[in-house]
Amino acid sequence: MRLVCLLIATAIVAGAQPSPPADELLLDGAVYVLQIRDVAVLREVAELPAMFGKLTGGAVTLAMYPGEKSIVVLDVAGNRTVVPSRGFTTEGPNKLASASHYQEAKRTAAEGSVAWAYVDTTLLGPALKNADPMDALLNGPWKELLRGSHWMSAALKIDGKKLRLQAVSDGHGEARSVLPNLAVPRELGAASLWRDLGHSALLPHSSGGVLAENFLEIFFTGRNLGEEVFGKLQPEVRLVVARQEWNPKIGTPEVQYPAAALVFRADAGEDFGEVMEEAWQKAVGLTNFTRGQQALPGLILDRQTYGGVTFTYGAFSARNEKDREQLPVRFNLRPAIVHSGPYVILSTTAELARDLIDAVNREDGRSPKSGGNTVLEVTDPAGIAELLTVDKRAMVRQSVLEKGKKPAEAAAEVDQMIAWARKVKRARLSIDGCTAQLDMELN
Amino acid sequence: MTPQDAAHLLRASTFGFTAEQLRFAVDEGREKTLERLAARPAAYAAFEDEVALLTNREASEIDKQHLMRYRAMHSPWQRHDKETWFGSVAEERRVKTPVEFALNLSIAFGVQMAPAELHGKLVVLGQRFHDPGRPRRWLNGFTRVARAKLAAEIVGKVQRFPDRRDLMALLAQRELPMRGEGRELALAIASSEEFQWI
Repeated sequence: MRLVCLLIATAIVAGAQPSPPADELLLDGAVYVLQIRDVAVLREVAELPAMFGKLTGGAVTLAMYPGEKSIVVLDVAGNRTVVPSRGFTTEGPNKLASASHYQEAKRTAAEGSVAWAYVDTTLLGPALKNADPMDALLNGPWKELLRGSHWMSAALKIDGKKLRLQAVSDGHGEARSVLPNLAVPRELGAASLWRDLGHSALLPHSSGGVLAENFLEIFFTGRNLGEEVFGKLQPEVRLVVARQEWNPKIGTPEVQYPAAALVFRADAGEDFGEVMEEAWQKAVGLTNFTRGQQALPGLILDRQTYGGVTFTYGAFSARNEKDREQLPVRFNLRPAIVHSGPYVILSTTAELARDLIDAVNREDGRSPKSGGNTVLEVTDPAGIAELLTVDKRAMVRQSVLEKGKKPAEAAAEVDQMIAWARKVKRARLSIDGCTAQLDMELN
Repeated sequence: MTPQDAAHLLRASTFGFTAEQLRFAVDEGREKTLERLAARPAAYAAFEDEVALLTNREASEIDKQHLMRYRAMHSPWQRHDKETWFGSVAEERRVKTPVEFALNLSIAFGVQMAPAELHGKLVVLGQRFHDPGRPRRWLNGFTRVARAKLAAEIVGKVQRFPDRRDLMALLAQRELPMRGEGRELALAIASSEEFQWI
């Protein structure tokens, strides 16, 4: 993820220039070496560490060395000893450009690229570990690919306000195919993934992972999680994120989250749908029970029929809420589970579940698949910027109290994220085997 | 006022102080320092506004504790916030509370710590919210080990240590018979019997 952030941000910086002057971009594992002629671009690159710190949650330091071309070193992994230990220098007989992997990578650079990057992936180490189940789900395959690779090469092409960043690695990825992304109203972004959940290590090997496994076994009534639960899900998984529309009869939360949903297709959908429904109801029941112990309101479960499908959802009562303009954060959540035919939809809101029923009803089971294991699309960056603006105060508070940032520093970071989101019109990342392509259109 | 007297005064009236603040108090003298610490500083109104912005309407008990620790770390009127926290037992205390122990070190060395990061560490040391506590809970065989562990963690984050003399003045009541300097000395002082007391 860190690497993707770096490449995206580099692309935006380079793309923001009227005539991109970056002539060569060298990345050396955890330490990234960029050679840039133009001082104006260099100044923009110098802004990157703060942004990476926010995006990656890790420390990023930067050092500048004078020379014929200005050289910047971004130490993303916090391991400043990497370059000396590799024995590479930018000039002289040990220079990086003489290494065989470097030359192999250089040959993959596309014609007409304005910038090219080389990454010694053997040095990425900790950055390629899966942090949590969601990280494993979204980033697992490309992290696994890079773990078994020696290098990655990335070339950037710019055509007006359109950027294309193509990355190639010497890792061995298997050919997969994904379903088209699902489109819903107010969509912010969507992803379509090929993930063999029955054989993936989604849960981390930690006390938290063991606890989660125990709970899942209870929710799924002692079924074998690998074979009888995750193994029943087909590997085509889709994720949809959308802005919420607030019902004036209920009100608007002070802190607003987007709605998100996972859409699975399962073998023996009808039978497995019931298994999922039972597990979901147990999870909601347990949550309600725990909240009750803390004297907190619980979800009221109900069922509704939409588009010919009856599904279960939960909602908090707003009856006793006086300030309907600033509802508590729990009103972002109206969780729903839908199982219809082969589809199982887990949504954070009943409204998104309804939109997804429309979307899957439009599919006729013969949806053409495209090659790859990951397609990720950001369809409404302006909407993301709008949400960040609404939630700025909450994000600053979290950053100050949980990360120890100063309020002004935290506010500046959020403003920077909003500015970056506004710079992008849309973005699409696709990963197929050992190739990744990021297409981005700037405003 | 000697640096030792100034350090004692600041130790009793604040959650922690830097070498600069110590020098300022020495130059200012006892009376003026006492007056300054008791008076509401002009920056306090802006700080209250800042705290109000960080206050969550839906704050849980733990959120409230994070905010209280934030006040302890950053308040420009530390004496007032310290009295608010410890209330009537403020005067009779002799043992450093866990929060004082942590902040005496982190503020002195300019180590940034998140209020949430401190939460679990202070609970282990016997700090309870809205309860000033009693010295026996703060200082016993178990908490001495936990204090040494926390001190090692904070001192491990220090980028640059003051010289031996300044370090002694910052952390100790008097010149202690300890060898070394920098990290080694800071850890030795933080683990000493003397540092556990105000």
